[in-house]
Amino acid sequence: MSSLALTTLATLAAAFVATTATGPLGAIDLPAVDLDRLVPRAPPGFEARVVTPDGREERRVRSREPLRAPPEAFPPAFLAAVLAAEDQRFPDHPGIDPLAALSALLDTAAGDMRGGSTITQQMVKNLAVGSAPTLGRKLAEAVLAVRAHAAYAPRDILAAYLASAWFGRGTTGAAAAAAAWFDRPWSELTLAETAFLAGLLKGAGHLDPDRAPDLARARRDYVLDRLAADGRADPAAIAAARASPLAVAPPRPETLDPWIARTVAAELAERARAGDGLPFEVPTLVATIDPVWQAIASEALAARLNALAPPGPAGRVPPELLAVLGSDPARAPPAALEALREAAARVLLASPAAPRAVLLRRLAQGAAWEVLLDRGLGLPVPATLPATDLPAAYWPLPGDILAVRATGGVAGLRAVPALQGAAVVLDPRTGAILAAVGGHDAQASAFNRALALRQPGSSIKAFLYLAALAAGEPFDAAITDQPIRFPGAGGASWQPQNYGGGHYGRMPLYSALERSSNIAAVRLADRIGIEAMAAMAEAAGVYPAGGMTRNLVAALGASEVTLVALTAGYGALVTGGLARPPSALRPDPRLPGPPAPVRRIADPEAVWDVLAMLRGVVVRGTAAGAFAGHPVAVAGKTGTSQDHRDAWFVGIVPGLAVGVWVGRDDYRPMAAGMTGGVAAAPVVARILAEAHARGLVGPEGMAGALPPGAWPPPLLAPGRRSPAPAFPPLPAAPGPALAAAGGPGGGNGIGLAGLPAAAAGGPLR
Amino acid sequence: MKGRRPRAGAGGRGRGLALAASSALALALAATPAPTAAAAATDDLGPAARAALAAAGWTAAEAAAGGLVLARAGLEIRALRARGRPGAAGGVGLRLEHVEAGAAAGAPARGRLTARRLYLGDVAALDLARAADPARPCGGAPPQPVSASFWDLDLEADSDALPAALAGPERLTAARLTVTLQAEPWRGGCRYDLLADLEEVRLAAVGGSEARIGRLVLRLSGAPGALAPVTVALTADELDLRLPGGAPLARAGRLTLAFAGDGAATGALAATDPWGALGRARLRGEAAAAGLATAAAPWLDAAPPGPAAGADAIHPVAGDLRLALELAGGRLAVAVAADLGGLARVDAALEATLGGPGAAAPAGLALPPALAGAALRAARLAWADRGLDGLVTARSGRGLAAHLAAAETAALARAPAAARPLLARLTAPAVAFLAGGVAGPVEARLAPARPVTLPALLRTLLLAPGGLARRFGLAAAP
Repeated sequence: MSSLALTTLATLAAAFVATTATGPLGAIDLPAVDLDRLVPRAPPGFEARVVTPDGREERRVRSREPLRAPPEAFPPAFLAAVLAAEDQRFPDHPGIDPLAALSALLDTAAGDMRGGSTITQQMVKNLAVGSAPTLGRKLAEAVLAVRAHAAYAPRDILAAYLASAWFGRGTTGAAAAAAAWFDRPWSELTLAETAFLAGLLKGAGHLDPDRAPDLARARRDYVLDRLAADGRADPAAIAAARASPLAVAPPRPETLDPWIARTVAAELAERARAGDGLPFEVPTLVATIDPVWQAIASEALAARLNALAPPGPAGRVPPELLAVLGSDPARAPPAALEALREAAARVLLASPAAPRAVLLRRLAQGAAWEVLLDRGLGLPVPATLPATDLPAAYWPLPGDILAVRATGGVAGLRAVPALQGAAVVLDPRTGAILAAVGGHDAQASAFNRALALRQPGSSIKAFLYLAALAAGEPFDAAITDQPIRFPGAGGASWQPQNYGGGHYGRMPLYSALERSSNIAAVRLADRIGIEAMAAMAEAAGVYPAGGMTRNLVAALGASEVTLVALTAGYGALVTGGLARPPSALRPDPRLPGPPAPVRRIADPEAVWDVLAMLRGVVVRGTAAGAFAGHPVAVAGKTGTSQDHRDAWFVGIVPGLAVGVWVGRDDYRPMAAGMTGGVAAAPVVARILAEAHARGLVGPEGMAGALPPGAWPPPLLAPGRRSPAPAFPPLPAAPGPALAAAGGPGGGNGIGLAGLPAAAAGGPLR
Repeated sequence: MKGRRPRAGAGGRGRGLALAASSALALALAATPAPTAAAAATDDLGPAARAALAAAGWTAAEAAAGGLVLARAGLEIRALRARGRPGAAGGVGLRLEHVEAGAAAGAPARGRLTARRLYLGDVAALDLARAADPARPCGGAPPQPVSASFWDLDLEADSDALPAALAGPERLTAARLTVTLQAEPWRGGCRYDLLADLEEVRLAAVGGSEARIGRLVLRLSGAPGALAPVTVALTADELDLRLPGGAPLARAGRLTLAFAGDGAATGALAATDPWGALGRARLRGEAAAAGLATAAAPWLDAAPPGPAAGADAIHPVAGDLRLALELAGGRLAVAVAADLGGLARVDAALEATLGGPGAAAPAGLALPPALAGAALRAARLAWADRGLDGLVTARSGRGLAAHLAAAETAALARAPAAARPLLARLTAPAVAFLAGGVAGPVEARLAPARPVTLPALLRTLLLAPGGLARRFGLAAAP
């Protein structure tokens, strides 16, 4: 039938539906999605297999958007097979194909059940309208398919379809399908394997050869037959492909620490946004994160969080939801179970490997509870679980939401920490992130707090003081912390307060930083100008260019940062003033973006003075309690945001920067006294103590980072400082620039424009 | 149609009608001045019309650029001139010149309507708050029919996910539209009867194709809710379908569509199991086209050209077409009648029963229970060639019989080897029957003594194919 006549009829029908059913008089709501951003301007997405440096752990890492490739990136046989099996008349029909629908109906009646949707309709279904089996959805799908056909080139539609199609094994998008099923790139697939992947479009779930080998092979052979019938492949090749066995690769293990995978995923997303996307084929990339450092950081963080606040329930479902369940949860209405599942899911994730449970009633005998167990799939089911591992201080009650974890093969109830935290370890010489722990339990919460934006509090002051020294302020210049009032907007005024409310009076700059005086910091920022501090913090990578708020409050850490960016910024101090963007991936030529820039942020003498001040923080300042008797000579800075919402500590030794954040996800204040020195500094102390015990770090830091005996810097005294040692040059650029965070607090992309003038050529002392 | 009192309907259309009703009321008032004429503000509303507007919750203000702006939350109507007129049943009518109606700033737009002139029978119909008040009888809808007439109407679909440039072509224009709405209490709610009468309609679609209709009458009756009964009737006279670029595709003297369904039928629209819902539904539908006229060429692929492709362009197809469907108590009756000169004459009918929820599909057929348990009660197919064979021969050099035989061979080759004998038993008589119609009228009837289900059909085919004709009461006659 003439495609023109068919197009006319189909588009007139769609126009009638559009003007009468979806227009001012309409009853059908078209989905509020921007197909422009999903079809021609869709983000490229990425997918990679990430392995640890020792090659023992690996996991697939991908973007939320599927890996996308132009149709011509696939073998021609694959495209031919897709068209032959799914939509032979594409793109000659107007987006919908009544003939194909009729043919599908007849074939279904004859026992060959198949759909009659065009590739355009399937694309619209995947991207916009979903698959609810209602006529209203089908009408909306048809209208959008006709419009999409008129709006977009067939190439774009086919690309969007292939990118949005489900191929099984956790894979959306054809680009990653070859790696998922055959562990090889598309270019190495045989005709039979290509036909198998095209056949999966009919339903990857029931065509999985691991579960239904006969069905999978029959489908592959059907696709090959369609190729032969359409004359799109050599008959001899078709015959050989039919005769070949269907052998898929076994699924690859997913053993890599989830926090490593999430950190790498965030970095790849940033690279994909900044560059031209990742390679079409799924590359294997090596993470910089070391499993040993990761384990040390993870254990230290968990131990401190458990010690700071006794674990308990993640939350509690409302009593009225429990009441609806009745006495027999096995017979509870599905709607009630669904409501309970939703309530629990808001506070605690669940998966088959890490379920959650809602307590119903304690059993009469033994420490066990009847619970509703939720594995993240389907509705929760009744179960009985032991409570022997719950802490003694926690008194469980019906409705409590707890984690379920296995110990020695036996699943039991586990309490959830009341506080959250994150820890980052990186090598500032290369920018390599050695550990990135995004929370207490990766199974319970996917939110990566190492990349979350939070207020740094006083931990930002190091860059204020460095900016002051770089601008010519002597290390022992006098400053007072007597109260001062600054004019605010609308006639109001602002009066900064010291933590604890006291005042020290006049003191040298280094004392002001060691004591973390807020008033002195604001006076200093006012003296040198907040712009100078912002330029320094941005040059160090703590903020992206222009990312720090130009306001005196920012001198006290009101402008949010990520832990990764802040830690990397501190790393630039211990290299003698050379900033290198952090990365969780080893250099790889397939990664887009320019080589990572190494930038000098200040002269080594000014940096050395700040390092001496930060050493004073640990020896006689706000972090002294956490590091008394510590085997490693650490310098660092505490930070506590307003009302104890965030507690920070970043510790540095030559060749290493370790940052820790503690707080709550919902920004509620922690208990009084939960300062950076109390909550976060002990985690850094434990990480470095454990690393020292394992021989990973010496008393003076990493071997070779500074000449022996150069570290630590002597404590400052009035008129007494030591000259800076000879900081070794940094190794060659390790690879492309990378992102420290996805948000405005990200520390990547430090441009020369962000370099403070004083830092580039300030007075040397 | 203005002033015509609508017939009391017996059904409802559900949410669609609710939107249609409210939109019609709202849009009937809206207007933005479209003209390029000097915008000398003319406000002849008069105190009675102003009072009526205020009572209905609308503000009337002079526009800075001239003209009048009527507004209420979420809606805005602009008109270059406005005049109060005596309305229906002693109310106040409203006449607006050069109007544009749409959503006010910040409100989610669902479309745009412009008209050169609008006459509203009664300003009170604009009282949307009263219409939406469930405490009032029938939601406060006006007891009398409300009518609005538009001249030189231009209706555009809402902008949606696609680029704004695409929303433009999907447009309906009409020289005149009269909308009459009757509302009356029904089961604690309200039932509506909407009549839309349009003249000189043009429906433009994406890609440039177009439908021109001399007169279009649409009637909707129903109540809000997915499970409310509904009746829909549409009549289009002097229908003219055009290809992109304006070339004619087809014409019809009259096209009619009619549908009536109960709550189960309308609920099937949003049901996740529409077949199951239809098994419980009562519905009746009919579509007919009289005076169809088209040419074969636009319907045939241009390439590859047949040996006598020139004949396509002068191969006219003309006649009448009718399709009827009725479903009640799970019993389905379908009838198709077509008499198209230049193509074929077809007369077909089928009676069947949809299955219940307990019906199981045969192995390998993932059919919903309503289809899996479907049973054939009777069927009839008669057809005679009226030019189809000649057309096929002209294009391809082979007649219809040869094409059918080739298609059968290809289908058998595609089928799995084990299924070929079974498929051959199905295709061979069908091909012979269809080919036989070229020689003259042929007819086949199926009249089984008892309804035959799909599993029973398969069993008979597999186990006793020789008894097929007897089991189905198959009879064929030239």
